[in-house]
Amino acid sequence: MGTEERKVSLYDMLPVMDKERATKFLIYGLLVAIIFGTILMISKSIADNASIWLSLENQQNEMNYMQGLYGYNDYIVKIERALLIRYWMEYQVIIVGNIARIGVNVGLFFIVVGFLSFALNDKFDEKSRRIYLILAGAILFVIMVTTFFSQIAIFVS
Amino acid sequence: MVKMSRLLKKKTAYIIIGISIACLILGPVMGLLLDKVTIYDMDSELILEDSSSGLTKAFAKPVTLSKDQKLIVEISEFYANTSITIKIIAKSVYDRAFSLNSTPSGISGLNFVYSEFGWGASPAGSTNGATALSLPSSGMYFYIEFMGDRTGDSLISWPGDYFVIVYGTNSGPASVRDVYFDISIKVDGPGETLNNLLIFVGALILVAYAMLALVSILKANYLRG
Repeated sequence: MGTEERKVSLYDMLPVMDKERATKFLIYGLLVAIIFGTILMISKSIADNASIWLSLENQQNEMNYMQGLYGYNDYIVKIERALLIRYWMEYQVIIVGNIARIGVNVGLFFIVVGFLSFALNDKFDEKSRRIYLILAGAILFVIMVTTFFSQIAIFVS
Repeated sequence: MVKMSRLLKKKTAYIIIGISIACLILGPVMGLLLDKVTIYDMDSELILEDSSSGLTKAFAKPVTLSKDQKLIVEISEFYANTSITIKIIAKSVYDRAFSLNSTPSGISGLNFVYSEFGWGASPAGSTNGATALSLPSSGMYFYIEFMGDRTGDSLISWPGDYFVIVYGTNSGPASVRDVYFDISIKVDGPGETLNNLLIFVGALILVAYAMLALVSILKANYLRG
């Protein structure tokens, strides 16, 4: 009795997931990525505008002093505190940014799994499945690159 | 349909988010209310002109300062024929002078700074140091800050017990011996600590809840069958 050689396709190696569940992965992955991405952008905006906030705070502080709301030593303390807050506004992007990066990557991972499941689903035609696989690969590539490097940049000189 | 965990139930969410928002609102409100604690506030405080010859007749208010705590005295004098002098002295000095009924003008006051708020003037340029202030000869109103000692226009914290003393004279008819002035004595309160604490707790609850809710949605929908 001869052995039957069975050809294993690439799709068979991917995790099996029904269409509905894969769509859920895609939507929630997108949602998580958008939420964390927005948090990152807000955090960056706070850090970028810290010096403007400090100028506003200093002017308000000086005018409060001139109105006699508090004395000189309260005025000095408020300047020092405003400086501390300004440094925190600049530093928080490091903490929030790294947490958000993890969140975005988790979201992207969910999207990759969703696309991979579409690619695996034999209810889609061959062409669509190939596109889904390419999309999954592209997103996975982005995850890998952003994990090991801070950004992707193309320089033209 | 998205499965819900107990953490995401409407009632639980309302309670947790409610507590967090309450903390975030209460923080600045408490901070503002308790920024300064008033020890004594009196318009038309009355002393007699005997106060300038013996400390027992002078106005005296005890104040205890802890580390980094500041004493603020706002004093003004707008009454006819009266002139007053304010000093801040250590409790030990006061006790001795009180028992001897010493002349207040002979007692050395401790260093404080006072502000004369000027529009457009640099705050550093409109602040001075002194050990005693006389009203109205030096000015009609003063905002005094005191912590024990000073270096330049900045204060040095010497925690301990102090007395704010005020004595004065009446230059009117001999029969009129009343000396009036307005005074408000405050110390730094726990406002700022409470403000920072409540805002931190409120933000922490909100962030922790958002994270737990997210994990709980993912867990309920994907990690269990």
